[in-house]
Amino acid sequence: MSEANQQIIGGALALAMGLALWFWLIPTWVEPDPDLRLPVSLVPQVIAIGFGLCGVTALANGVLAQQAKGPAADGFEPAEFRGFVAMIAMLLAATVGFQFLHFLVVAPVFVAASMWMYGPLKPISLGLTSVMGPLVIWFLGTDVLGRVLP
Amino acid sequence: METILAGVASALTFWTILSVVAGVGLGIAIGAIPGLNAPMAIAIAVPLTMTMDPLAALGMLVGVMKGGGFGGAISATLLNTPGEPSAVATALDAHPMAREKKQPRKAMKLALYSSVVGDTCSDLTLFLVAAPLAAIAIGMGRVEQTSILLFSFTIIALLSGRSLLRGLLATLFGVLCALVGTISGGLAERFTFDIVAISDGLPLPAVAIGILAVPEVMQQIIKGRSRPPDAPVIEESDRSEDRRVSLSEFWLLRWVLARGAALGTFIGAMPGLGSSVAAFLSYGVTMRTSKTPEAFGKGSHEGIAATESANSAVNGANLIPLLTLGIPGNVTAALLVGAFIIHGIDPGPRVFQYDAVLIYGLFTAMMLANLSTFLLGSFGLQLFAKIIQVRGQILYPTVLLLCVVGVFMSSSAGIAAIYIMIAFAAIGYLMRKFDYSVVCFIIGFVLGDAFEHNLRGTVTILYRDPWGRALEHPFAIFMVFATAAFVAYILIGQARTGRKALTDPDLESKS
Repeated sequence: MSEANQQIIGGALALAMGLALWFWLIPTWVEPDPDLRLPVSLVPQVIAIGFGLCGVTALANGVLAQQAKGPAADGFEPAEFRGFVAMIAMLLAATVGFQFLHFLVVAPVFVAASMWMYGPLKPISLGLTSVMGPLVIWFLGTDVLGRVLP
Repeated sequence: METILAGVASALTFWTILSVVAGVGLGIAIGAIPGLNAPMAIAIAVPLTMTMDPLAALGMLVGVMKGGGFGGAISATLLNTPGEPSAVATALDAHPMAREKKQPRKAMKLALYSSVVGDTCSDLTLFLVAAPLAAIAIGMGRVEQTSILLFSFTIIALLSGRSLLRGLLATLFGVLCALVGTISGGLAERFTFDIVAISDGLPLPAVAIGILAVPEVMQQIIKGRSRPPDAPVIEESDRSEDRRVSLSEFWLLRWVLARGAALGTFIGAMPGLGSSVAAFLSYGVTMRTSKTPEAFGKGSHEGIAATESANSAVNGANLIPLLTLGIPGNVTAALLVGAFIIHGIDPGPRVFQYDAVLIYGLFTAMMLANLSTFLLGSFGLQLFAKIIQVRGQILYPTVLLLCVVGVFMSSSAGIAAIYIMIAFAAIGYLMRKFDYSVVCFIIGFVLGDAFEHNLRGTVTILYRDPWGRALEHPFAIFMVFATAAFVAYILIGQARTGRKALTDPDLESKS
């Protein structure tokens, strides 16, 4: 993706955020407080204006840069994007797992999956890391720090 | 004087010293791992310190900050892959010294001693100037504080990222996230979407670990398969003079160290300018003034001393704007602000009125951290050097699990905090990918509450007669003009560079 396109997309998103704040989020999700001298929505409105102004400027910059044929910028490679989505999905799955299963059941699977994502697995390091790592963290969390783990 | 002595005494307890030493050890270990750095280490350590005594907790975090600063030099020396961005300049000479001159231990020791000297000078400056500056700052009202916050946000946005617009957007997003929850001084909720877990606001550890640590670890895991398999083996000379730094060798570097420490302290006191800027500036100045500039890049002692003294000197000086104005200069200081708030301390000039003993205790803990870095670094260098040999496949998944556990332990929001962390991890990854500064985001998030408080106060003061009342605040007017002038200066410079880049296709590749 070119730098100009990145600016256009970023600007459009910022403008959309500003408009969403002003017309939907602030009216719906900011409660009034009659005890306060100034409205609760004062600073959110300032932020919305800021998003709008920055968005419009970024859009304009992007369009101008596109006309001037600006430099190409780094973007997501397909493999990296797949990895990113897989990592987020794995983290979400682990969190859901923590809600229903014991830490010492979910954590080894989570560590093993992360190790598999990193590269080819060696059985010994897989076994040691995915079992010993969560066990040590469990021991440190519950026995040493005296905290509850998920 | 009594307060200072009470502060010193409060830091010289077994648990505080242990916390500082543990923090330094953790910082060096994490800083030495390529891809991990001091801010990430602090983000991960914050949950561990939540139940600790405030001084022990802050001492540990300061230890992590200082240890992490030196840790980056270990991987820079041995792998040419700096653990810290600020150690990139160190690698220019430390790696050739280790690889070609076969002096890896000497290079690391030189980096260690330079780092400790820079850190100590910077800390002494902090001790000397913080209280007098805070006494001046304490007289500032809401209008002045708002103008300082606006100035800081703009400067950090300008200097932390590739473009001002992206920096400002990241800051605005950070402030917006800080507004989530119940308004301070009132009962009204904002942007909670009826989720009880965020009615008190988004938990700082979840946001900080999510945006700083998790994306970096994710990136290391995702790119793991394309990484070269093993670190190159570095041979070491058998001669004892190749393994240690003699006093005479170190004495020859005294002016380089002094200049590096002075530059680092000055840059550290400016919001937005990080340790990388200090390191490269010191390196450049030292090379220009050196009698042997041709030795730079080939294992020059001066090069290592210049960069390490400068990048470490940023650490202490970073706390000058934090303790005098309540404004963090970089991510590390922003996380310390979070830690202050978690422990019920309001960072800023009033901290010298209400928590003076704690602050002088913190100053003592900083000196203890320097001593610990020196001792742990000197005697544990070989052990820390082994850490970089631990395979990423073992390290990064374990660190990721630690992030999840840390967030869960630190927040009353429970599992919801992990979901918040994941959301911010995704946002942080995308922000990095598209050059939106996470530094700006974190500083906006940490200062969002103070910004709202001061802005509301300013509007109340200026409401009836904005121009007339504004004239009663000349310092605020000066800050607004200074912000505008600085923005104009930078934007004009960027526009000129942009025009040159368009007309000279080689410039892009050179830059």
